[in-house]
Amino acid sequence: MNKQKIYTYIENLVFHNEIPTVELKQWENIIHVLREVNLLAACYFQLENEDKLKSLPFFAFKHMKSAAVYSSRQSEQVTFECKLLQKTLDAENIPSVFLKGASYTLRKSKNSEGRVYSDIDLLVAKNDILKAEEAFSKHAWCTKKVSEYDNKYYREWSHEIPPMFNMHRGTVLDLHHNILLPISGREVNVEVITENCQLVDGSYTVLSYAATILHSIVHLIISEDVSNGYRDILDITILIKENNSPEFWQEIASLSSKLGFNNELYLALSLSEKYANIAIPNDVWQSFNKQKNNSKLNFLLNHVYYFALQPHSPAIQTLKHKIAITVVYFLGHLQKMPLKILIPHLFTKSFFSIRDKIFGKHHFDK
Amino acid sequence: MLIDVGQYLFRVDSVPSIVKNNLKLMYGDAVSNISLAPADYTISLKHDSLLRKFLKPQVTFYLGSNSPFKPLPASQSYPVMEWGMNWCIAATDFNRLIVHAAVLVKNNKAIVFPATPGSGKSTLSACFALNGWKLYSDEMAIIDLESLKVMPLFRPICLKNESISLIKKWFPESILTEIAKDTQKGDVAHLKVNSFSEYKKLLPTDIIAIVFPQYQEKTKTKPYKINKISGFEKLAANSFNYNILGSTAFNTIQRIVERTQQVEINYSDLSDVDELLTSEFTL
Repeated sequence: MNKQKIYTYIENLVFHNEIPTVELKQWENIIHVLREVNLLAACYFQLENEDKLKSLPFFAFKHMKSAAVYSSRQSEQVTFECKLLQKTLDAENIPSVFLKGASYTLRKSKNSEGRVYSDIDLLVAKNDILKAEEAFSKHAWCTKKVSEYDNKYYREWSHEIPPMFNMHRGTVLDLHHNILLPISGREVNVEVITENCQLVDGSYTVLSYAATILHSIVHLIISEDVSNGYRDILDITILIKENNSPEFWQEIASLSSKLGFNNELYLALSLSEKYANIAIPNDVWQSFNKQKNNSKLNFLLNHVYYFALQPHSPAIQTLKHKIAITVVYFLGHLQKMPLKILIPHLFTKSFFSIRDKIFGKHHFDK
Repeated sequence: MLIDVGQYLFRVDSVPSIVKNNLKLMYGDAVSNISLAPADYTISLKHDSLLRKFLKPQVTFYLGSNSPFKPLPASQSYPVMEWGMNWCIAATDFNRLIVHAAVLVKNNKAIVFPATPGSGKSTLSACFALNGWKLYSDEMAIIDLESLKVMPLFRPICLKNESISLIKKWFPESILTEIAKDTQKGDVAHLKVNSFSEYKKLLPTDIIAIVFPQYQEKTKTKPYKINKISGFEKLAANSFNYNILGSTAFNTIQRIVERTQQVEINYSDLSDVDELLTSEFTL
């Protein structure tokens, strides 16, 4: 089976719940790619919802089922951690918003089924961030030791502090004070995003659906690392399908105009159309006149992002994918940092990367 | 190269030739129609960097393109491969309860020996397996959540330190890999006890007892029945996926503990343990 064929089966399975009609042996590549991009469990729940699990060969079923058990456990864990975090925040009177994965789980949106997490993302006001860090540290949350260079990067330039982790349970917490890096030349007014927050279960604050989706979109498009891009675009398409109402489209379009993210929204919606046949309403489409005629943007869409987001797995990757991923890496950095910061930053990063290639990755670990 | 370990099929992508030779020695007779079946895991063992290939060489284990462990000295290549295979199973199979334990079967009755420190689990496995018992596993008990039967694995035994020379002395014919020195577990060698055709005859088997052996120099072999609560706790503590399976694991371990006996045995002589278990459980 060639790479393109494997990929087509995967795209149809992930975005359209179509079970590949292939010989048993050919499931090997499909399952291994899905495992690498952490989508085995998501496939399990999607197929379960459509009552299609029984059409799977046992080999595929057992791997998806096992991943589903793992993801259900993670979802319980995240719910539990959020409860404790919220209690600590309440005691200190720190307003907060749960972002990304944790917010999907708290509001039980469809894309939370089968999702696996690397961390919990929490937004607090810039003035509260040190207070929150201190409050959490009294409950066994420690700040991860990062290199001196990375610590300086986080504290001086970034929109978050170095990750914290729970001493007892190992859970990782990312504490943000903005949704984007402040030095990207277009500091996002957090208040616009958090204006229409929702309360879940009477205690947790999450962004409105439109703001949640826009946040996921911006995060995906301006990121230099798209190794989880396939899952991220799947999140976006599922969330859109779940909220496909005129009010939703109006809210997301107006939010994106206010914040200046129309290019990112255009890219992500076009990608959603490409991968999952999401129908974009005409009026939203028409508001993208400028973007539709922007040849650079369309080049990025068709030749860069479409390939860069596909699973980062040797079973499907060709040179085209690798080039696209490299382009996204530089674009992502460029969008977040002005050149005078970016060049020294990449120089430092590439120095470490070359050093690690020569001596091995963990040679200088303390 | 495909490796059939019974419950799981590994595709070995690229490994140093020394590892390949050891894999052939340990699993080479596992010939079946596996080339038609999909492999569960694609694994490889790679040199870390160009310079490192020549200077203090190190190897890294990969499942697909992910490496779960830090690189280790190349002299430990084969143990790293075996531990990596253990990791693949323990980190991805949540369809069964997996306990860090040796499993030995006699007369169609399985005894699970959890890997408590000082138990001498691997020496016991090797001795029993070379002495009439059927080895189901030296490292992990794979237990079906419904039937509670324990499944056989086709894996070698990982011998450490003094037990390597003891086994060589007691069973001079045994098939062993060369010794990897100074690993995390000391000196290590792997021992093949089953041929694949012998393995193929093994069936899922009911567990009759959970036995916690404790080696004590010059002691007389003595069994102590332990209560169900501490039996439960010890089994749960040695389970790789208790945390992930949650209530399923709790219920499964409860059912196992109710149906089996839990015994602690202090011993200095393994043949006494064999004799004791054989008479106690009419094996």
